[in-house]
Amino acid sequence: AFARNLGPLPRDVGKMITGGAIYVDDVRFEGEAVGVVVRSPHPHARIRAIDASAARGAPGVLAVLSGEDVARMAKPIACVIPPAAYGRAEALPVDRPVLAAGRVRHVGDGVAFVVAETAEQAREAAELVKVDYELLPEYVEPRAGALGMPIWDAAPDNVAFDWQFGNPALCRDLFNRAAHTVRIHLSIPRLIPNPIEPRAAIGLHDPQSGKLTLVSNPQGVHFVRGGLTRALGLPDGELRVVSPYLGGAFGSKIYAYPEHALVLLAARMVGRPVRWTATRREAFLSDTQGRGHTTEAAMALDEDGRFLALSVHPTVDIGAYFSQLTPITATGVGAPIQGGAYSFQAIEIHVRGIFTNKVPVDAYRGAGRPEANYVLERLVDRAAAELRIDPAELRARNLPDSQTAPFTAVTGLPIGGGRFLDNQRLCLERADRAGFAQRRAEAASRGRLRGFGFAHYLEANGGLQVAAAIAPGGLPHECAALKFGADGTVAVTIGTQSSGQDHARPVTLYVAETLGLAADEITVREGDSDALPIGGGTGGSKSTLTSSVAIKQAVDIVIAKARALMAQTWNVQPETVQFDRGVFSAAGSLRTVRFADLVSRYPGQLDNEGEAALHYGSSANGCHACEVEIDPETGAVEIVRYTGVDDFGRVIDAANVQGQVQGGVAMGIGQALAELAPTPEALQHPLATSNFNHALLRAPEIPAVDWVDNGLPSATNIFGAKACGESGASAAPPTVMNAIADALSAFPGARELQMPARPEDIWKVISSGGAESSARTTSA
Amino acid sequence: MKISVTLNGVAVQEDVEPHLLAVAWIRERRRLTGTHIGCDTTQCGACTILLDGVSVKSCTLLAVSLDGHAVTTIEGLAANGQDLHPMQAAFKENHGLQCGFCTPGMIMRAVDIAIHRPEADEAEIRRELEGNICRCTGYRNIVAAVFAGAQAMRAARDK
Repeated sequence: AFARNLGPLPRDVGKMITGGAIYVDDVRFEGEAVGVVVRSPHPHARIRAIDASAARGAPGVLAVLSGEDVARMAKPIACVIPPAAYGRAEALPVDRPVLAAGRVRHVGDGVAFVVAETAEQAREAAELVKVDYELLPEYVEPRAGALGMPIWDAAPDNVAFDWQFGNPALCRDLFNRAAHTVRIHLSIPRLIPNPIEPRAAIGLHDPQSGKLTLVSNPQGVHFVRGGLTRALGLPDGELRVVSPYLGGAFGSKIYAYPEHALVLLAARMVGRPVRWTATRREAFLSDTQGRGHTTEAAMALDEDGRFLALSVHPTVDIGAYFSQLTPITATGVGAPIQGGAYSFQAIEIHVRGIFTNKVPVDAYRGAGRPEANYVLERLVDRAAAELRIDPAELRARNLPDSQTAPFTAVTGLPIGGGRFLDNQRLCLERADRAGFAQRRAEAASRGRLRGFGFAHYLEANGGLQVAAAIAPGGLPHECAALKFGADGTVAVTIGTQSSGQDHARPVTLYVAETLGLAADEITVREGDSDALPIGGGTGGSKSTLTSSVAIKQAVDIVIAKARALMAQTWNVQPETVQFDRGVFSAAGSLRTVRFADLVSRYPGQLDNEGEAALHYGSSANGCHACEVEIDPETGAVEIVRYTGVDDFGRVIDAANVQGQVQGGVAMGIGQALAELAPTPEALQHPLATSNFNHALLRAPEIPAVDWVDNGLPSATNIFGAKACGESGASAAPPTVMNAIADALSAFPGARELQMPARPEDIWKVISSGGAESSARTTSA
Repeated sequence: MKISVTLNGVAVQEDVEPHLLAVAWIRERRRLTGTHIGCDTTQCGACTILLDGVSVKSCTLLAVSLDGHAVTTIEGLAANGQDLHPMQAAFKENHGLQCGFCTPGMIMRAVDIAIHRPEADEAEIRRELEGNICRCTGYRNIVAAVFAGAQAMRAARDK
């Protein structure tokens, strides 16, 4: 049904629960062919030759494309971040190619694309493509140095970027004068986003107009269109990108991907629609991954425990290529919140991005901010332990009190106010920290180790850092269009892309309230690059913020048009026509008219489109606490209690927001306890995707979050909202790891415990023994 | 091979290849696309259907093994004349979904739990949901939906 009716779609829960929601792999086109990607089994190898003759002759095969074929038709998919943003003078030629030519650089790198009548024929023919590989030395760990065969000739030491931020000189000075210096070494390993819906794409080519259409599942149709038209050398108008329902994304579906370009090239070549759907194994081999940081951090404190300076040095395992946002995800997205809301006098950050023979990393729920929050909150807890100060007291000494006026963080990030210390008080009260000692003793009587941990987080929402990196002075833009039907319905089209967040809700409420219309007559649609000139898509917890400016702009224009029409009708000056909650009136007269009645009087004339820039981001903030119990016999961790207190600004729809918190916390718990991307060696074995089985947490392992809305309404947008989508993913990892550290405080080995803290790791810490008086040495 | 299946209450006969998976038969031949493929390796549960009233993952079943059995997919769950099955209504009311991709499989599994363990408490529901992965919700609202749906199914039966 969808195949005949491409276009922006509303998100309809009624269809999602009855099987009527159409995802990409549910769409079928007349005469479509199916493509399969032949992928490298090696992490690093030269391609000596590809022999596709047997595959070309196999039953049903329509075309086989190699990397060299594709290189004649398409450039690699370009990173959109200019080199100046990540501290290089010139861009490196390290963009992700549509197919690898000459050399493969990670397990799963595409080397050929086989198109056949059926999926089965394409899979069988793909097995017949013979690739002669010459193996090269592989780089699994991110280590810089002079190398015989670097991953890129242009980066002989495997260093992709070396980026500095803040004030190193002042930091050095403050560290020299400090009463206390506390250091920590932390690993924030690579994760696979793993939305349950695999990536999928269908390419269509209209031979009459020459126009290409991509039906896929991206987080923003316009961003993907831009990436693909640049790679394919097309004007934007020659490609339409359409998204039906989107089955989870978490950052991994932001990008234009090689397979998008392949289905389009193949469709043009064979003159038929061409489909590609990822298997779960391919999600492991080709979806952008997240995190991949190893960080040395230190903080300086004075004799009273006041924070002086913070130094953070992450080494980032960025993989073999730049994905479209890789350098900014690893640097400028997390940096603004690195110091949190704490009153540091100086900060310095030094990020080194290192190439490895792995799938590229890029944004994954939080994109740099979870990494920054994790380092900060683990370090503050470590400082509390070393200085023997209660971690709540230590934070209280260094946080602004609640209801603060707007201020500027040590990183320069403007913060419009937040609950900070008030979040902490409320969270610790709600989590009954006062009663914890008793619960710990009770657990000990059962032979279990119980720990209490908490952490703050700070967000920088709105996508401003990314927009400013893409173009100096750039701002996130969003677009909304309003169409008024003669039957009283209103169609709103917007450039965001929901995958379950229900972006429609605030937009609907605003249009209904402002224009005096019934909310159930308003339908919000997303997912068609032809329906709007631009669109910002979804990422950076920005959709509510960007849609707020776009819908306000569109509604304001509509009101201005209607006002002009009424001024004409009433023969008065437009500025004397007043408008309040859906009703126009003429000053000094009794004449009034409802906006709803104008719609039928002026059919089509009120329709409009608004495009606006987001000038102000927001800073969601909060404090989360959890209690764990560890079974010392097995090392298994059970999260027995989890509390979240969040300042998301004004909460528009509590049920949806609570769902975002619960889901984000679940991902954060998964990161803390279980998830880890397989190594290249593991990926060479088909069973590597069994990690999907044992590493993704199931219903029994995720606690219900006791969530408290502690929102301080934001003054920077019409909704009063901040953001909520990524907060849980920032809050949970340090919260859980601080609780585990507390439970294991008697065991010196716990100081080096890293994520994921799997049972075997915890068991090793416990079995290596406890200390009577734990030695308070600082780690290297 | 010829198979006879009662699919969502309707008798269906079809010739299928011996190696065709049940999920492929349902999605590609019968065009019932509410049954999703999330992992193709029997881990995620997005492809869960009811086979003679018992939930099974249709990616690990051959189409020929459906022969002589009754299959219910998400599209056939609501009885004739009903808009929604009580479990579907419970998922909607309890916000038991976000992106919706795991949802049909979750609902089919939930119906099985409600039929076979009608008195299940929260902990038992969580254990019973172990074969179905949701990446969006953190499970809380799914568990609440299963609990509410089971109660509604009991109430409907007792009427």
